[in-house]
Amino acid sequence: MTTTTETLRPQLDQLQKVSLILGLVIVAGSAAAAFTMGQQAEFFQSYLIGFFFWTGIALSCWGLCMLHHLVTGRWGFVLQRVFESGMSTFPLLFVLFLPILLLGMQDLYPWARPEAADDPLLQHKEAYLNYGFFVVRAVIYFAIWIGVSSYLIKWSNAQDESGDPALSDRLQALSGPGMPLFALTVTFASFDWLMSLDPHWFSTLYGVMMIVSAGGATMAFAIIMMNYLHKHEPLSRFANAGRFYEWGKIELAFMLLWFYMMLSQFLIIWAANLPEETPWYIHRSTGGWEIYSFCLILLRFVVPFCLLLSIPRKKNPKRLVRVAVLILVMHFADLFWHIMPNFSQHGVHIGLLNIALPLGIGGIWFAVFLMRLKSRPIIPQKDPRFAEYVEAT
Amino acid sequence: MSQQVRTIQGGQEYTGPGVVGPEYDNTTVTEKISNLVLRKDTELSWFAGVAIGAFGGLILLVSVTYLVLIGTGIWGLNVPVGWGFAIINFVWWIGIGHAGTLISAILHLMQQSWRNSINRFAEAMTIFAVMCAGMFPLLHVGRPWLAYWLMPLPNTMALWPQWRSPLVWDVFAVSTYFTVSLIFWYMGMIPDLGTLRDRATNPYLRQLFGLLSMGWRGATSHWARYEKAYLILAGLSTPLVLSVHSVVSFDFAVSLVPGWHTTVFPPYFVAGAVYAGFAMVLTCTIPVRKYYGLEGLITIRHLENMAKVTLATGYIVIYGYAMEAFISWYSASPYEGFMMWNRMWSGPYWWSYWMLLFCNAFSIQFLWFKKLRRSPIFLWFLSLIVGVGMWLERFVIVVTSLARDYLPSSWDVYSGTVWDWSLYIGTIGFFIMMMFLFIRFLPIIPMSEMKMILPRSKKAE
Amino acid sequence: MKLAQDRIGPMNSQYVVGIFETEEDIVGATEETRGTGYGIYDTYAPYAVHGLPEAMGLKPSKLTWACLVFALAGFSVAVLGQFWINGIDWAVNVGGRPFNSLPAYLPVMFECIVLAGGVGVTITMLARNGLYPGKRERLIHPDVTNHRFALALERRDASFDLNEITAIWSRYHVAEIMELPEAVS
Repeated sequence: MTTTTETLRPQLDQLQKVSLILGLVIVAGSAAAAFTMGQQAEFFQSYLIGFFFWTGIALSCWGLCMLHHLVTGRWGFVLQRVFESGMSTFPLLFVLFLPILLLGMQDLYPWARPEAADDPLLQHKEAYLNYGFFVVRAVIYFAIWIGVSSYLIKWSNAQDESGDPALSDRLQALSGPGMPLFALTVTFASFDWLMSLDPHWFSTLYGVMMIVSAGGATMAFAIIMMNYLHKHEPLSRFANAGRFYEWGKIELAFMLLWFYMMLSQFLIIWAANLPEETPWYIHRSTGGWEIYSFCLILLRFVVPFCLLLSIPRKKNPKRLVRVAVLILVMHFADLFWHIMPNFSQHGVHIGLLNIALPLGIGGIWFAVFLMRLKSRPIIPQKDPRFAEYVEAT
Repeated sequence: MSQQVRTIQGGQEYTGPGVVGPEYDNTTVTEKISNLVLRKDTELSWFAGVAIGAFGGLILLVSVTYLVLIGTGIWGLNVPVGWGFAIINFVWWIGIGHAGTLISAILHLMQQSWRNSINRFAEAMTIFAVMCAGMFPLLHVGRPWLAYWLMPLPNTMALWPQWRSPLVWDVFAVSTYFTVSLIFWYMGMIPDLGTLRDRATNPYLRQLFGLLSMGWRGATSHWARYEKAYLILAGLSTPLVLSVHSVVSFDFAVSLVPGWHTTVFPPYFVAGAVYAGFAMVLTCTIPVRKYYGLEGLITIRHLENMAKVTLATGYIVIYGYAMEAFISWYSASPYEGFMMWNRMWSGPYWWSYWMLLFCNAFSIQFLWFKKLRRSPIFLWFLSLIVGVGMWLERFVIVVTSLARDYLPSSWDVYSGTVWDWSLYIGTIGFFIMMMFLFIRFLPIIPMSEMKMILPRSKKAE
Repeated sequence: MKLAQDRIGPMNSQYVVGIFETEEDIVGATEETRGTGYGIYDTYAPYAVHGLPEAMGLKPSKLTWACLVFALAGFSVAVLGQFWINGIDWAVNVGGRPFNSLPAYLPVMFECIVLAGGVGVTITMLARNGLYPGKRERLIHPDVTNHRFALALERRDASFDLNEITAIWSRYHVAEIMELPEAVS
């Protein structure tokens, strides 16, 4: 049978069309408005937030998919196609990265401006932070992401046809070395694209923090998708309260880890109080940012964590999805907190552009995601491990 | 050797897809495991093992006595290197304990059924390892009999602990960790102690196990609360295990010393702890399963899973090394850059860094091969290498960073004296002795939890 | 070990106990016996049988709330203790840090939550179960800590029909039926 949820097909087509049109209109409109009004810098700042938000979700889809192939827990089979559709968007994301690469560098990165030549620290880092190497690295990251993920998708597709159990072993064998590649490329991509916005500042924890925070957002995204799809055949047979409970537990773990990383980095820098490191936090704790930071901790960790502790809430898709929406919104707020204080150090300004542009990029991304999702069976039904799982439940 | 001991030994290797060998059902699980405790004869090799451990324990006693009489001057500490073997061994031991909590709590929450045969063993290891770990800071304070000053107790001098110090956090973290691990271990054992009570023929043993099992009688109303409490304890232990080694890493990371002060330390220490801990679980279980014929309960699949966790956590540790090295250059800080160069090449301890990379980064690559992951002998030797590697990691962090600190005029070279080594070897002996006693007197595999995961067909007789 | 049969009590509180061999049988027998309206006293098993508390109709345990209370108590002690000690009673300047340093107090707060919650929930569990060192156990059958399962019914009124129960239980391969004259736990 069947690609995805047949009954939902028209609805998904509609959703895809609307999100694509809205996305294109918003991005084109924002670009036109920003460039005619001379707000090029603001445009690229918002663009980076949107780009990194959706790239992070695609990347975590890839990471979680490999994790699923490695451990094959019960939580993963139903989500596998969501993850695979998410990681099939890397070519699109590469295209979306081109505007930053070609036009936005000087607006975003201080080390890419001519004044960097007067800064001795940036001179030291010039071997790493220079335009040519930056481009080469970005191409390498995308090549690895597209390369590994396309093999994972290809073999998974082939298994939908043939049901060959050897393909499961192959997926697992690729996912093993894929995990260190994932960790390294995501780490260096977040060093390049986010940490170097403040090129003097450095933190060895930064990559791990980005992996964990995007991971939590991706689980939230997956929960939202599942809440949307789970009432329809064939998912209604598999995405039951037990699965939502497991996803809620994973989300809870991600919340805890997110706070753990944030606290570890802050506590170490706060306690040592070194002039090389503290400015990053000073920018985020003055001029209104202190209230923002407090709300971020409250709404990105305290509230969702406490809500997720409840077992009945995790088992009830309707109640769980509200927390997931909160987490996804707060992930945007988190990236805003990472990116914007580098530019507006004297006060929080949330403009229309800051919100519209990430939504617009999201519209385009989501349309491609849906296109991939509905083109394939929603369940990896011929995976022999899936058959075992069905038997066990 | 008597007939009874012979039935204790001898098991067959099981390589099937399940987590329990085919020879086991509810009755045989009870028999096999409780016989290890209740048998009348004890083989000579067990006495030999205890004796070796106890000899180490004697070395420990002598070292502590001499230390208390003379003072910490008998150690190799000098002015820049004020934290030597004591902190290295403390971190090493406490790290080893982490696998126990990971296996018993985190894998329980993740509903991994393969944890059920190794959790008791690993938890026991945790308890003994934390005991060994705790000795070092207590002795290092110089006057261990005044160690209660670390606790916030009202006193006539109106003094209180200084809560902004990571060393005070350590006191709380380690003592909480020990207490909660002990409770978790003991609570898991209550149903099994009940089983032993009902199977013991010796009236004194029956009294003893009766006392310890607190009147457990297997009522479902009890089981329901018991399981709930066990789940809650697992939920509490999971962030606890993260916090303990993070707090240990804060001992270093909140300071200013290059090589200590780096933000990746907390997760990297936790991963290193789990890594060393799983290696120690392998070191201990592989001989025990062979000697007591437990191959059907601690199967090749268990060993392979542990090898996989070792590989995964090993990679996180390698990631930590890579981040430290990269950021030491990227930071453009001359102190960070010098620290890394000194650690790798120009300093007096360059060899320890490369040995560490050999043990922790190179040697585990063999675990990519399924055949080696399933070879008990290979895993046993590898686990020893990992144990050495993690000791060296703490040596590199503690000694190379301190020996070349900000003030070149005070630079000095550090090496452990014979008393440093004797104390370390003494704790290893103590650990071995405790493990042997545990094997003989308590159920080393949880009977009730094994019965839960028996395949459906085997649950009937 | 002291079996319940050894003790003699008044005849008006009588228990009927069935011994079963497998997990499926005890769960099935419990469910069906409860459905027919007989009062289930308790069941006994060598391990935590999945679904048995639900089959008996036990209410979900409230231990989580006990744990929460203890954890909050530990948290409050840590918060108040640290702020009072370092902020008020013994305000010492260390490295220029503020007297009240919330970030530096978080680790100890967390440890106190876990310590109080963990110790508290264990003690609550033991107390609610009535277990303590030295408690004299009264096993319903010597095999319930090894490989068999027991279902104990309480004879509450005259409608208690042993034949009907025997008929139900034999469908679940009951191995043994015992009558006990006295309370079994």
